[in-house]
Amino acid sequence: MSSSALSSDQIFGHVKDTHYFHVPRAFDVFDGDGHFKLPQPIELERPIILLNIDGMDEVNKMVENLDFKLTKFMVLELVVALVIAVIFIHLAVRMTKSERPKGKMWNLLESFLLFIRDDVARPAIGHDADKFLPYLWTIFFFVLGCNLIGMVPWMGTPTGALAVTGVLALATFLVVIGSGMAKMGPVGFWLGQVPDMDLPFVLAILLKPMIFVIEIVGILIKHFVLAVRLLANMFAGHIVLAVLVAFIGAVGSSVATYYHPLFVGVSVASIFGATALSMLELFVAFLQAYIFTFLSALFIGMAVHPH
Amino acid sequence: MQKWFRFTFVLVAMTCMAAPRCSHGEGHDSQHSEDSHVAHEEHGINPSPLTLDPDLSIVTAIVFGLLLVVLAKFAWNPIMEALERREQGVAKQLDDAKAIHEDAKKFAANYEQKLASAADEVRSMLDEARRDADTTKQRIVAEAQEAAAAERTRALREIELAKYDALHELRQNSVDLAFGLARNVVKKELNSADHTNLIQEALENFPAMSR
Repeated sequence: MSSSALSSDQIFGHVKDTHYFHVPRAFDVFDGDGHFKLPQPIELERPIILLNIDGMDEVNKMVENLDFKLTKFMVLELVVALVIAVIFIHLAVRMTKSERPKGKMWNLLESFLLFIRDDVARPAIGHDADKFLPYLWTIFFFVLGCNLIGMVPWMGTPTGALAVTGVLALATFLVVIGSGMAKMGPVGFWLGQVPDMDLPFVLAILLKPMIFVIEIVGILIKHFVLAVRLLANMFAGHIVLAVLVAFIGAVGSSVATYYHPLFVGVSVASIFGATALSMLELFVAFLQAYIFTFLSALFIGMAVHPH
Repeated sequence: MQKWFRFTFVLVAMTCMAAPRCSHGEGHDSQHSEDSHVAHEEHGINPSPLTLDPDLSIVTAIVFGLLLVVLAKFAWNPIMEALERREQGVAKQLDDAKAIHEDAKKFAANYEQKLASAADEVRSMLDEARRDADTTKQRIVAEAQEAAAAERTRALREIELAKYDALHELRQNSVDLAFGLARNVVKKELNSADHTNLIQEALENFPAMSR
């Protein structure tokens, strides 16, 4: 029983990236296991990179193989990117043609764009903010799209994978470093990480390198946490949803009939609980997209205007 | 309410139908366990949330990079320009509206000023008219008084003339009467001496009467 419904394989299999889309088995007309396997355009005999560092089993386990396998999250990301591109290119064409915002969708999208511009980018970055708007808008809508597509039944949440959030955080890191170096000069940016403290020469020789190291580690940690924060929120939320729904399966395997009051009661409670949590997840999807964008803007602002 | 009830019922029914397939039946269960096992082996589900799939990272980087480039060129730049254009348009309209408002205020001030000067003019005209009326009144009164005085003078002169005529006539009549009376008296018993006395007396008295 437990291995089928509440086992970590089952639970994490619904939240983590897979090579198939998992749908109710009733819908699976092929082999009936509920797995729509993705076609693999590249079949390698062995992975290109297989991390195997001696004495670092945990790291070896953490980093999966580089084998060019198509996964669910890749497809979903692509879908999200296409939807975003279509929506906003269409909006851009409409805005170029007409001066007045017409329709609910136009106004809604514009309110998002203006919110990011006026309440996130400009306060955090200052007068250079508009230069970074394309990046911030893209990251906001991409993260939001990836978060929201996880709320569609039988899809998944790409932002629940470190590979996705890590790359997004890396992108922010590169923008931060790049913009800082472009503004302050390559040397000036790195030297600017150490605050001016009017230290006596001897102390400065001792302290400044240490502070420099701390600041650099701080920057790295900030961006790592940016990735982990989004990952943890999306991952945890969906794990909780999966566990709630898995209660139905767990109880179902332990009762004789599915009209058993326990099964019906747990089913109803699970469904209502999952519905309520889904509402929360919807909110979290928007909140985390906002936080990721806001922190990206804040880091860019700190790099461009260090003091 | 009924809708909600129906919705809940359908959900529960679907769950009841799906759940047995998910976890019931020995044969199926073992089949599924096997599937899970194969799947697990295939993609190696590691329950740690911190696993990193380099394939997914590469695809994410490509998808996100392409999305950024495509959106920047075809969406964000046109949208930013459109927003900028609209903001400038709105700012210009606000400036225009302010300028028009200022003009309107000036016009209103001018109008108020003109109204005030018109009221002053009316007031001065009224004062002038009142002054004219006073002058005319005084002139008419003076003329009337003058005319009345002239009339009075004329009346006095006429009275004087009438009095003179009356006195003259009275003197004439008195002389005639005296002469008549004297003639009658003399005719009867007066001698010449009496005659003379009488005349003398009459002549002496006469001036006193005529005065």
